[in-house]
Amino acid sequence: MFRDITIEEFLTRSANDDIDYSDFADYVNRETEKLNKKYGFLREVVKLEMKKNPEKITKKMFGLPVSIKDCICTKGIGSFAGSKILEGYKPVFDAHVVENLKKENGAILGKTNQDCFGFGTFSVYSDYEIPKNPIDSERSCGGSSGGCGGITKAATFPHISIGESTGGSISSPAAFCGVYGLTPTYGLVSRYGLIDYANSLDKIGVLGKNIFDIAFSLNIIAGHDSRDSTSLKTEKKDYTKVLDKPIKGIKIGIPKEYMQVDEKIQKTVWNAVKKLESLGATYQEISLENTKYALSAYYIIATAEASTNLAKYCGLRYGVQNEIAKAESFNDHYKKIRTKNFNAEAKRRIILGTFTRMSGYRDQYYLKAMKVRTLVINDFKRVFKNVDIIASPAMPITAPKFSDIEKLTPMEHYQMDVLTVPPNLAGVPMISVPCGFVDGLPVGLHLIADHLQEEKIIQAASWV
Amino acid sequence: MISVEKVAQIARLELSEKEKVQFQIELEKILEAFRILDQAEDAKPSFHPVEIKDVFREDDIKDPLSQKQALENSKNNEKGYIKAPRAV
Repeated sequence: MFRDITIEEFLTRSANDDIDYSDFADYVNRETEKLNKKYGFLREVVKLEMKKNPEKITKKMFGLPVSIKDCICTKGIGSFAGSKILEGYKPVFDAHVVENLKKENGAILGKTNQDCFGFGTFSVYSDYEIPKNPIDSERSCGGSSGGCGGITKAATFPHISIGESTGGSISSPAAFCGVYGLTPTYGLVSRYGLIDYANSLDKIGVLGKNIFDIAFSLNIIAGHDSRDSTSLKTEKKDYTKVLDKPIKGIKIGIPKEYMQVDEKIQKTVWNAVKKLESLGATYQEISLENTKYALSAYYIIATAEASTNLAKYCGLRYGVQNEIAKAESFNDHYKKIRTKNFNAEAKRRIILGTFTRMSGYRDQYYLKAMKVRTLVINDFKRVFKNVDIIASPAMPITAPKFSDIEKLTPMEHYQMDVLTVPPNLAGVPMISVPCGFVDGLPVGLHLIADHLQEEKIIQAASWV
Repeated sequence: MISVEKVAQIARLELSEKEKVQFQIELEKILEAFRILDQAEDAKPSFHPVEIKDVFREDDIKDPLSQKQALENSKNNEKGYIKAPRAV
């Protein structure tokens, strides 16, 4: 009765009073429990309780189930950002995005597993369960919003997932799990209530089974919020309006620097571009010359900001807290809490970020990375004078096996972000769109537009 | 690169002997990769991806968290204060 109904059908049926919410909640709870046992998408499951109550189950979302990445604060529900250091933390407030979802009667289904603080591309740096890919459970869901990608793919009920991207954490799981994942322009969605990784890069976005789900959800979560000083003052838009709008005349740029990937992935992406061409779009090769510097600049900026953000976890106010020993000094207490509760990847990034900000090294690394960010932004600005959108693969590989991820060195791990880091560094919007399979594994087509041009990529994505 | 142990000390992390060796090798490799930035042109630094100006708001009083709420997640508190180890 509810199996595989789309969000559009769910909304129509709800508006026509054709949903028994008690039955619906039972079905969703049963399915979630079953899926979570098998794949470990959610760190914490929140049981839906719905009764047929027209007063409560109305508004735009009609009780639509929403899973939320663990790093986004949910009032009264554990928000650990995948890290042991925040274990037990139950925020006393909702993030702006959660407030917006609740206002429209979105129903929180749980908190998704992720790399701690977003530190990873495969979700293997979670201090809790590592989510398994529903297409092949020996493979990764991607990361860091891995649980978001997995549950979006596997859910047999209408559902959206709210993820967060710093350097590719929405596009990676969307590509590896074969779902849609939108990372909006930096500042379009308020970061109020987000447990920060790197403030100048973090963006909250959405993963969904189809493009309507993405456009519909963006309508709800986008908008100015005075509590985030980087929140942009933009006009409210209806992103569903551009769905299926003809793409005749749209100019697509194919960056030559982004196409040096596995041949089969390249071919799958080209097929999608040719399909858009057959519908009236045109394409041309372009060059984003500073691409080769983006990965290094990104990891310097991200870890520098992360190392300062993580300094606030002192084990006194929330999360993990030890008994305070009598003779203990603040520094000893602080060091003990951090040493015990940050995992190896968190320590690696803290050390790296601390080093690149140190006196004597700051100009060589941190300041230089900020300058390179300007070059990367200018690359995009220049290209968007001639093309409407950019198309490329979202990831250089398909979902890898956990046994292969284990063999990667940290630098090889970081290099997996090579295609997602430049647009994330420039804060431009991007969407990973399922565009085919290589050896049975999904491939994501990455569509990128200029700042605040989400409509262009949503429009194009609706034709892939 | 200077010793990982020294940086860890500044970052208030204690590393095991094994971690010290492992991190030193890994971080040197990462920093070696970062050296590519020396070849990049000079430019004005961008501290944000979009240009952001100082943001002001009206100086109105807004409801803050109550003391009870602010202490809700803290285990070591007394008389409305959070207990902390000695700082000096």
